[in-house]
Amino acid sequence: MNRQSGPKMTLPTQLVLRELLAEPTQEMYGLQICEAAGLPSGTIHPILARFEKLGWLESRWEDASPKEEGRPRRRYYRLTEDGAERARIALAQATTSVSTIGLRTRPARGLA
Amino acid sequence: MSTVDPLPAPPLEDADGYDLRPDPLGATTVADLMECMRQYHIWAGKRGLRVMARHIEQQLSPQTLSNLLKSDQLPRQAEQVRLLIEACGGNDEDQRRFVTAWRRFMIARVSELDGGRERRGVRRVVPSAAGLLAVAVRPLPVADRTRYAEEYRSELWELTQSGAGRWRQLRYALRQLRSSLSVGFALRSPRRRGAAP
Repeated sequence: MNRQSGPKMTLPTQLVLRELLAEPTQEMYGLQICEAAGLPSGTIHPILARFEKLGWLESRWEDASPKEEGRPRRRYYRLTEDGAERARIALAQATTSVSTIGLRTRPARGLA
Repeated sequence: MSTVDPLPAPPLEDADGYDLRPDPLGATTVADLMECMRQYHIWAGKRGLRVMARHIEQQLSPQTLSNLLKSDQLPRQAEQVRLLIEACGGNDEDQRRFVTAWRRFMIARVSELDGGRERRGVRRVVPSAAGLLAVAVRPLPVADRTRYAEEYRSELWELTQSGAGRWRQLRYALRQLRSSLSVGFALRSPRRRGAAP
Protein backbone atom coordinates (compact mmCIF):
# COMPACT_ATOMS: atom_id res chain seq x y z
CA MET A 1 0.00 0.00 0.00
CA ASN A 2 1.40 3.32 -1.05
CA ARG A 3 0.40 5.48 1.88
CA GLN A 4 2.12 8.69 2.98
CA SER A 5 3.45 8.43 6.51
CA GLY A 6 1.70 11.05 8.66
CA PRO A 7 2.98 12.93 11.66
CA LYS A 8 3.80 10.79 14.65
CA MET A 9 0.48 10.36 16.39
CA THR A 10 1.47 10.15 20.01
CA LEU A 11 -1.29 10.18 22.58
CA PRO A 12 -0.83 13.90 23.43
CA THR A 13 -0.87 14.66 19.69
CA GLN A 14 -4.14 12.79 19.29
CA LEU A 15 -5.67 14.54 22.28
CA VAL A 16 -4.72 17.95 20.91
CA LEU A 17 -6.10 17.16 17.47
CA ARG A 18 -9.33 15.81 18.91
CA GLU A 19 -9.88 19.02 20.85
CA LEU A 20 -9.13 21.19 17.84
CA LEU A 21 -11.47 19.09 15.73
CA ALA A 22 -14.29 19.29 18.25
CA GLU A 23 -14.99 22.84 17.06
CA PRO A 24 -12.77 23.29 14.00
CA THR A 25 -13.81 26.88 13.36
CA GLN A 26 -13.29 27.97 16.93
CA GLU A 27 -9.98 29.53 17.84
CA MET A 28 -8.25 28.44 21.02
CA TYR A 29 -5.16 29.70 22.80
CA GLY A 30 -2.41 27.44 24.06
CA LEU A 31 -3.39 27.14 27.68
CA GLN A 32 -7.01 26.58 26.71
CA ILE A 33 -6.01 23.69 24.44
CA CYS A 34 -3.92 22.19 27.25
CA GLU A 35 -6.83 22.33 29.66
CA ALA A 36 -9.32 20.98 27.14
CA ALA A 37 -7.02 18.12 26.21
CA GLY A 38 -6.23 17.37 29.82
CA LEU A 39 -2.52 17.92 29.27
CA PRO A 40 -0.21 19.73 31.66
CA SER A 41 0.40 23.38 30.83
CA GLY A 42 3.53 23.89 28.81
CA THR A 43 3.50 20.59 26.98
CA ILE A 44 1.79 21.35 23.70
CA HIS A 45 3.98 23.87 21.94
CA PRO A 46 6.10 21.28 20.14
CA ILE A 47 2.86 19.75 18.82
CA LEU A 48 1.37 23.08 17.80
CA ALA A 49 4.62 24.22 16.17
CA ARG A 50 4.83 20.98 14.20
CA PHE A 51 1.29 21.20 12.87
CA GLU A 52 1.59 24.89 12.15
CA LYS A 53 4.72 24.19 10.16
CA LEU A 54 2.84 21.48 8.26
CA GLY A 55 0.08 23.92 7.46
CA TRP A 56 -2.54 22.03 9.41
CA LEU A 57 -2.83 24.87 11.91
CA GLU A 58 -2.87 28.60 11.60
CA SER A 59 -2.35 31.07 14.39
CA ARG A 60 -2.75 34.76 14.99
CA TRP A 61 -2.51 37.29 17.77
CA GLU A 62 -5.80 38.37 19.22
CA ASP A 63 -6.93 41.82 18.11
CA ALA A 64 -7.22 43.25 21.63
CA SER A 65 -4.66 45.75 22.75
CA PRO A 66 -2.63 44.63 25.80
CA LYS A 67 -2.93 48.14 27.26
CA GLU A 68 -6.69 48.19 27.01
CA GLU A 69 -7.14 44.63 28.21
CA GLY A 70 -4.52 44.94 30.93
CA ARG A 71 -2.95 41.61 29.99
CA PRO A 72 -0.59 40.20 27.35
CA ARG A 73 -2.07 39.23 23.98
CA ARG A 74 -3.17 35.66 23.43
CA ARG A 75 -2.05 33.63 20.47
CA TYR A 76 -5.03 31.87 18.94
CA TYR A 77 -4.84 28.60 17.00
CA ARG A 78 -7.28 27.05 14.57
CA LEU A 79 -7.15 24.16 12.14
CA THR A 80 -7.00 25.13 8.51
CA GLU A 81 -9.62 23.60 6.25
CA ASP A 82 -7.04 21.26 4.76
CA GLY A 83 -5.58 20.61 8.21
CA ALA A 84 -8.95 19.63 9.64
CA GLU A 85 -9.41 17.07 6.88
CA ARG A 86 -5.93 15.66 7.31
CA ALA A 87 -6.32 15.60 11.08
CA ARG A 88 -9.51 13.53 10.76
CA ILE A 89 -7.76 11.05 8.51
CA ALA A 90 -4.68 10.88 10.72
CA LEU A 91 -6.80 10.32 13.82
CA ALA A 92 -8.84 7.64 12.09
CA GLN A 93 -5.65 5.86 11.03
CA ALA A 94 -4.20 6.20 14.51
CA THR A 95 -7.37 4.78 16.00
CA THR A 96 -7.36 1.94 13.46
CA SER A 97 -3.75 1.13 14.25
CA VAL A 98 -4.49 1.00 17.95
CA SER A 99 -7.55 -1.18 17.31
CA THR A 100 -5.56 -3.48 15.07
CA ILE A 101 -2.87 -3.90 17.66
CA GLY A 102 -5.57 -4.48 20.24
CA LEU A 103 -7.21 -7.22 18.16
CA ARG A 104 -3.89 -8.96 17.62
CA THR A 105 -2.79 -8.82 21.18
CA ARG A 106 -6.06 -9.71 22.87
CA PRO A 107 -6.17 -13.39 21.82
CA ALA A 108 -2.49 -13.75 22.65
CA ARG A 109 -3.14 -12.43 26.15
CA GLY A 110 -6.13 -14.67 26.42
CA LEU A 111 -4.08 -17.71 25.53
CA ALA A 112 -1.30 -16.91 27.88
CA MET B 1 24.93 92.28 48.27
CA SER B 2 22.11 89.90 49.04
CA THR B 3 21.71 88.67 52.57
CA VAL B 4 20.22 85.34 53.51
CA ASP B 5 17.89 85.36 56.49
CA PRO B 6 19.05 83.05 59.27
CA LEU B 7 17.01 79.92 59.77
CA PRO B 8 14.42 80.14 62.54
CA ALA B 9 15.19 78.56 65.86
CA PRO B 10 13.70 75.15 66.63
CA PRO B 11 10.18 75.29 68.03
CA LEU B 12 9.90 76.01 71.72
CA GLU B 13 8.35 73.49 74.02
CA ASP B 14 4.85 74.22 75.24
CA ALA B 15 4.41 75.99 78.52
CA ASP B 16 4.16 73.88 81.66
CA GLY B 17 0.78 72.31 81.96
CA TYR B 18 0.20 72.43 78.19
CA ASP B 19 0.92 69.75 75.64
CA LEU B 20 -0.20 70.99 72.25
CA ARG B 21 2.40 69.06 70.27
CA PRO B 22 0.47 66.98 67.69
CA ASP B 23 0.89 63.24 68.17
CA PRO B 24 1.03 61.30 64.88
CA LEU B 25 0.83 57.94 66.66
CA GLY B 26 -2.73 58.77 67.70
CA ALA B 27 -3.84 58.99 64.05
CA THR B 28 -6.30 56.27 63.11
CA THR B 29 -6.58 57.05 59.40
CA VAL B 30 -4.26 58.36 56.73
CA ALA B 31 -6.32 61.55 56.60
CA ASP B 32 -5.76 61.93 60.38
CA LEU B 33 -2.03 61.54 59.90
CA MET B 34 -1.91 64.12 57.13
CA GLU B 35 -3.99 66.50 59.24
CA CYS B 36 -1.55 65.87 62.08
CA MET B 37 1.32 66.91 59.78
CA ARG B 38 -0.47 70.17 58.99
CA GLN B 39 -1.07 70.75 62.71
CA TYR B 40 2.59 70.06 63.42
CA HIS B 41 3.57 72.63 60.82
CA ILE B 42 1.42 75.17 62.62
CA TRP B 43 2.53 74.08 66.09
CA ALA B 44 6.18 74.43 65.07
CA GLY B 45 5.67 78.05 64.06
CA LYS B 46 4.15 77.82 60.57
CA ARG B 47 7.35 78.41 58.67
CA GLY B 48 7.18 79.60 55.11
CA LEU B 49 7.71 77.02 52.39
CA ARG B 50 10.95 78.59 51.12
CA VAL B 51 12.40 78.71 54.62
CA MET B 52 11.43 75.08 55.11
CA ALA B 53 13.06 74.06 51.82
CA ARG B 54 16.21 75.96 52.76
CA HIS B 55 16.29 74.28 56.17
CA ILE B 56 16.54 70.89 54.50
CA GLU B 57 18.94 72.14 51.83
CA GLN B 58 16.34 71.90 49.08
CA GLN B 59 16.01 68.14 49.39
CA LEU B 60 12.31 68.86 48.89
CA SER B 61 11.24 71.88 46.87
CA PRO B 62 8.79 74.47 48.25
CA GLN B 63 6.22 73.13 45.77
CA THR B 64 6.66 69.55 47.00
CA LEU B 65 6.38 70.68 50.61
CA SER B 66 3.23 72.58 49.73
CA ASN B 67 1.76 69.52 48.01
CA LEU B 68 2.57 67.35 51.02
CA LEU B 69 0.90 69.77 53.39
CA LYS B 70 -2.24 69.96 51.26
CA SER B 71 -2.53 66.26 50.56
CA ASP B 72 -4.75 63.69 52.23
CA GLN B 73 -2.83 60.86 50.59
CA LEU B 74 -0.08 58.94 52.32
CA PRO B 75 3.31 60.07 50.93
CA ARG B 76 5.00 57.37 48.88
CA GLN B 77 8.22 57.49 50.87
CA ALA B 78 8.94 57.79 54.57
CA GLU B 79 11.81 60.12 53.76
CA GLN B 80 9.37 62.75 52.51
CA VAL B 81 7.61 62.66 55.87
CA ARG B 82 10.86 62.85 57.78
CA LEU B 83 12.12 65.78 55.70
CA LEU B 84 8.86 67.68 56.09
CA ILE B 85 9.02 67.37 59.87
CA GLU B 86 12.70 68.35 59.81
CA ALA B 87 11.82 71.32 57.60
CA CYS B 88 9.28 72.41 60.22
CA GLY B 89 12.12 72.40 62.75
CA GLY B 90 11.13 69.09 64.28
CA ASN B 91 13.72 67.23 66.33
CA ASP B 92 14.83 63.63 65.84
CA GLU B 93 12.17 62.29 68.20
CA ASP B 94 9.36 64.05 66.31
CA GLN B 95 10.75 62.84 62.99
CA ARG B 96 10.86 59.30 64.34
CA ARG B 97 7.27 59.44 65.58
CA PHE B 98 5.96 60.66 62.23
CA VAL B 99 7.96 58.06 60.30
CA THR B 100 6.67 55.34 62.64
CA ALA B 101 3.11 56.48 62.01
CA TRP B 102 3.76 56.48 58.25
CA ARG B 103 5.13 52.92 58.51
CA ARG B 104 2.02 51.71 60.32
CA PHE B 105 -0.25 52.90 57.54
CA MET B 106 2.00 51.83 54.69
CA ILE B 107 2.52 48.32 56.10
CA ALA B 108 -1.23 47.96 56.65
CA ARG B 109 -1.90 49.14 53.11
CA VAL B 110 0.58 46.74 51.51
CA SER B 111 -0.78 43.82 53.58
CA GLU B 112 -4.31 44.74 52.57
CA LEU B 113 -3.35 44.85 48.89
CA ASP B 114 -1.62 41.47 49.12
CA GLY B 115 -4.56 40.02 51.03
CA GLY B 116 -6.93 41.34 48.37
CA ARG B 117 -4.91 39.70 45.63
CA GLU B 118 -4.90 36.38 47.49
CA ARG B 119 -8.64 36.56 48.12
CA ARG B 120 -9.32 37.20 44.46
CA GLY B 121 -6.91 34.43 43.52
CA VAL B 122 -4.82 36.95 41.63
CA ARG B 123 -1.12 36.44 42.06
CA ARG B 124 1.98 37.95 40.65
CA VAL B 125 4.15 36.45 37.97
CA VAL B 126 7.15 34.90 39.69
CA PRO B 127 10.28 36.58 38.26
CA SER B 128 12.24 33.31 38.21
CA ALA B 129 9.51 31.70 36.06
CA ALA B 130 9.61 34.65 33.68
CA GLY B 131 13.41 34.33 33.61
CA LEU B 132 13.22 30.64 32.70
CA LEU B 133 10.84 31.47 29.86
CA ALA B 134 13.34 33.98 28.53
CA VAL B 135 15.88 31.15 28.43
CA ALA B 136 13.36 28.76 26.85
CA VAL B 137 13.12 30.82 23.67
CA ARG B 138 16.86 30.85 23.06
CA PRO B 139 16.98 27.51 21.19
CA LEU B 140 14.27 28.76 18.82
CA PRO B 141 15.05 30.31 15.45
CA VAL B 142 15.77 34.02 15.88
CA ALA B 143 12.74 34.97 13.78
CA ASP B 144 10.41 33.10 16.14
CA ARG B 145 11.82 34.12 19.49
CA THR B 146 9.83 37.32 19.95
CA ARG B 147 6.58 35.61 19.12
CA TYR B 148 7.13 32.70 21.49
CA ALA B 149 8.46 34.95 24.24
CA GLU B 150 5.21 36.91 24.10
CA GLU B 151 3.10 33.77 23.84
CA TYR B 152 4.79 32.16 26.85
CA ARG B 153 4.46 35.38 28.84
CA SER B 154 0.80 35.48 27.99
CA GLU B 155 0.28 31.90 29.14
CA LEU B 156 2.20 32.51 32.35
CA TRP B 157 0.02 35.52 33.00
CA GLU B 158 -3.12 33.44 32.39
CA LEU B 159 -1.82 30.87 34.84
CA THR B 160 -1.28 33.48 37.54
CA GLN B 161 -4.80 34.78 37.00
CA SER B 162 -6.16 31.29 37.56
CA GLY B 163 -4.43 31.32 40.94
CA ALA B 164 -1.22 29.49 40.06
CA GLY B 165 1.33 29.95 42.79
CA ARG B 166 5.09 30.03 42.61
CA TRP B 167 5.62 26.28 42.09
CA ARG B 168 2.97 25.87 39.43
CA GLN B 169 4.42 28.80 37.53
CA LEU B 170 7.90 27.34 37.84
CA ARG B 171 6.67 23.94 36.65
CA TYR B 172 5.10 25.59 33.61
CA ALA B 173 8.33 27.44 32.83
CA LEU B 174 10.43 24.31 33.30
CA ARG B 175 8.21 22.36 30.91
CA GLN B 176 8.64 25.09 28.30
CA LEU B 177 12.36 24.98 28.87
CA ARG B 178 12.40 21.19 28.51
CA SER B 179 10.39 21.28 25.29
CA SER B 180 12.26 24.22 23.79
CA LEU B 181 14.54 21.99 21.70
CA SER B 182 11.52 20.17 20.27
CA VAL B 183 9.82 23.44 19.43
CA GLY B 184 13.02 24.68 17.81
CA PHE B 185 13.32 21.47 15.83
CA ALA B 186 9.71 21.71 14.64
CA LEU B 187 10.18 25.31 13.60
CA ARG B 188 13.39 24.56 11.71
CA SER B 189 11.95 21.61 9.80
CA PRO B 190 11.27 22.36 6.13
CA ARG B 191 7.77 23.67 5.53
CA ARG B 192 5.67 21.13 3.71
CA ARG B 193 2.17 22.45 3.62
CA GLY B 194 -0.29 19.65 4.22
CA ALA B 195 2.23 17.00 3.37
CA ALA B 196 3.60 14.36 5.61
CA PRO B 197 6.80 15.36 7.44
